[in-house]
Amino acid sequence: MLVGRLAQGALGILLGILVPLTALGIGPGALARDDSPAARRDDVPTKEHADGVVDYTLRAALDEHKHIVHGDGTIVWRNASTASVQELFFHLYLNAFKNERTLFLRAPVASGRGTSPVAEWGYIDVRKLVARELDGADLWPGADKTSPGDTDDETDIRVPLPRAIAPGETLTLDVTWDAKLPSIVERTGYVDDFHMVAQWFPKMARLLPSGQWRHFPFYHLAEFYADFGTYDVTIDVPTGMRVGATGARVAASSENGRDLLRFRQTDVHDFAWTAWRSFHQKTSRAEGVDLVALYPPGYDVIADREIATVTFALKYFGERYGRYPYPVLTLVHPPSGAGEAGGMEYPTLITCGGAWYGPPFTHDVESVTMHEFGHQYFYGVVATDEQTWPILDEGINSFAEADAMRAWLGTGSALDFMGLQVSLGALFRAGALPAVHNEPIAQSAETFASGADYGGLVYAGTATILDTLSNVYGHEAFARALGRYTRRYRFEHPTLQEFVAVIRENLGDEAAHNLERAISEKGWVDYRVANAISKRDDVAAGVFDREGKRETVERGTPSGATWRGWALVMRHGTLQFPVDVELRGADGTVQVVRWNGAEEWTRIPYEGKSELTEAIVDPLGNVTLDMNLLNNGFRAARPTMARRTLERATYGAALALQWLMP
Amino acid sequence: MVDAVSARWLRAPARRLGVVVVVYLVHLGLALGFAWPVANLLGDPTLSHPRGDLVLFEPGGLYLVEVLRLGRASLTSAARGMTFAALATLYVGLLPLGALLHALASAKRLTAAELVAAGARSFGPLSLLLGLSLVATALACVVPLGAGGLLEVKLKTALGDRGSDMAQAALWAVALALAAVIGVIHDLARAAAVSRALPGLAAARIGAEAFADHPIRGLTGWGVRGFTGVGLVVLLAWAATHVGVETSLRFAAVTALHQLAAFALVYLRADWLAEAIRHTRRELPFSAEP
Repeated sequence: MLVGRLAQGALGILLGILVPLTALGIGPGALARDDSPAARRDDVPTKEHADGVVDYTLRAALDEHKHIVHGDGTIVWRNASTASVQELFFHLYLNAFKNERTLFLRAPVASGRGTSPVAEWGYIDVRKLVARELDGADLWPGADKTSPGDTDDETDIRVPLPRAIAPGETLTLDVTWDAKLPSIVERTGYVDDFHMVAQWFPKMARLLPSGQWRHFPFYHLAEFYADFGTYDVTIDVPTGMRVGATGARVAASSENGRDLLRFRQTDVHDFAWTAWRSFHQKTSRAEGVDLVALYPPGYDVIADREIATVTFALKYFGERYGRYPYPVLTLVHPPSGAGEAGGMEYPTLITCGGAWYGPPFTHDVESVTMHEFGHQYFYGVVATDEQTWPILDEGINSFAEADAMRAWLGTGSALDFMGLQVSLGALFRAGALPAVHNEPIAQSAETFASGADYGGLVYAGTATILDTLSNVYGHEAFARALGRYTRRYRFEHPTLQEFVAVIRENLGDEAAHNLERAISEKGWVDYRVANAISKRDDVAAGVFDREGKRETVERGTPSGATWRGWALVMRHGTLQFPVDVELRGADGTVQVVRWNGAEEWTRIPYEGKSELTEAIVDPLGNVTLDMNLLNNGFRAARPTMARRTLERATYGAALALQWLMP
Repeated sequence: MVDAVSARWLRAPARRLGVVVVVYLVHLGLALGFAWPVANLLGDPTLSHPRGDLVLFEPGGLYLVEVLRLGRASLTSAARGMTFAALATLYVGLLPLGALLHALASAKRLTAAELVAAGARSFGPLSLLLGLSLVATALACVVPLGAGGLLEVKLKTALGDRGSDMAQAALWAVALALAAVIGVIHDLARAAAVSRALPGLAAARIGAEAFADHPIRGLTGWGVRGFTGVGLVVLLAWAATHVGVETSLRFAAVTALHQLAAFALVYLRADWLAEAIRHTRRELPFSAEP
């Protein structure tokens, strides 16, 4: 783990040098002018294409009865680092489901996706790995049998090379393998004749610019990381199966009762596909992108909702984060028995979820679809290391999801039923705050104590932190910052440092400091109004000799109309956000005072024509990270009854009593 | 004796509006009892906010979710306590029900003491009928629902997701229909028990026979009023949503709308019970008008 973090630091330094050069138009990758509105505002040049490092030309034949994919093909890999390498690393993710001793299946994750027992094991057997440039030697017999440091796991395999491969040198690897799919578990597998074929081929790990491999076994909570390249895959399935896959279909033919479908896509770092006889299909087109929805019979309405979601998302994300760079997007809705295959992202292919009868006032279908589409940016185009920094894909993407859902569906983005509107942001906040004190967000996936912490902190926590930054430092400024981040690192592999640097550059040191504390130091904050009092100005009491006359002024003699007082506002916690404090007089006047939030408390002075009756800190609820919103206000005369709540609860109880006591 | 009552008194609860109002008020009082702790747990924490508990009704649900989050343990505890109270209410509610049935079946003016006495007198038979009804409903529903559970995999394989779900929904509908039939018989038996002063088992027999004589009319009489009530609640909920609770005037209007709905439900229920009484009077045709 330490090695991995040091490698990230080295990459950070390297990118710190490369990025300014890239911005100046110097360095690898063709720069192009993104024509999205956000790009026009910012004038940030973006890459048109990735620097391809590894190209896969594969053929995959599905045995639908044995649920085995017979694969062969060629991997062309270039040493894009600055150092020679003596070994290769391959991810054999499917081996995570080989037996109960794998790192994945023995992980102490109590609940959630991937925790149900595997009904049928899955694994991948590499038959051959021949390097043409190394005298045609089969490298696989010399490969390690297990993951480094773990004799039970076979998901991270080192392949020693007979000689060093110099920087810039290319290896052409002929590979043959068989992938046995498990019963559906954690994104991949089969149910009956439905097949979700993901992480199915020997996948090269990513070589960092420093010459170190970023390789890791398949951890339960972690996802993936790889170099960009071109995938050209011919899928061979029995005739009658409908197939969806990464990329655009460029050829199709049939022979001997089997269909051969060729898919090709440049500038991606993974390839997934699905095959099922029962898929129904809808097509559409939005923002110049061909949309294909594959779904089970009876899910037509749900498919329409998913298409509507990505139609909005393509425009919204395109304007904010740069144009969607691929010609096609495939939406796969797995059948109900294959729920674990749903809610997942692959380049140009996402899997959705939800029951066919999902009511339109709950927006979970839209929410899942929006989230997975967002990954086309935060994972896909901005290809961060999902194992080391899940915050950069799941976290940022959860914010982007909630932001897009709010822009599309308003304050009822999660639920909008008979006047009851609940936003996705409110739900994220409720999911995040209980876990704030548990552990930092900015850590690698496998080091989280539990799946609940991982979900609450990485997804909901990051979304809430970024929402607070956006509210406090300005929605425009934050949108500009996130837009610059995505365009600057389009087809790149930024680290957390780069993300924080962009926030600092656009929102300032205070915002970046708060962000760092919130994600790395379990930062938290709770604003509270402790008291608010005022009294009318009194004339000084006593005996006074004025203009030759002696005058006695009694205590409590009012001088007139001025009331003076203060509101005592407190800030608990380690985060320091500037907030407004609203002081309200009995006559209805409102005074708004800005407090920088730097101290642990402040006394906000009040002067007005009437008594200070109410005070509230952060009246607009900008600091959604606030641990307790219910102590933000203070009333001199607190009402004794929550009449609206009592009325609504009474009515609800009265309706229930119709059934209980007719 | 109520058996001698003139048929013209047996139809309209409008003639017994006072008793219907009393039952409504009993409902309201009990509803307040249930609502008070919930309102305290949900609403009180917001009272320091300048907008008070209005924040719970704001779009986006930020404060609503917040009180649910922070008050989760207390609310769960309160809900557990209320479960017991709700079970007790099933039986407590038999007292006003007995009084209402007695009033609907009676032609003469009744004193409060007579109504209380009638409620107390019929508590025994009505309790027995309630117990029988609960057991019968459970036994009737376990067949279709159990079949649904056993056939789940086979239905999914044969019919796919949607077909399987619809088949399961159909089985649920069967269970609900059986529960509705038992509910109607139960009401007929209750009517017989009070209006004819019968013991529980005899009333159950009369209820079953009355339903067997006119099953469609029985279900229609119950269903029309039931669905009218549901429609009214939805309509008024929609109206209340548009009125809002931002000002005192609007809050008062919403309160009035809600209480109108609550009263209408009690009234519709009384109307059905009046018909049930008529239904169980064998000497009268089911649809006889007074």
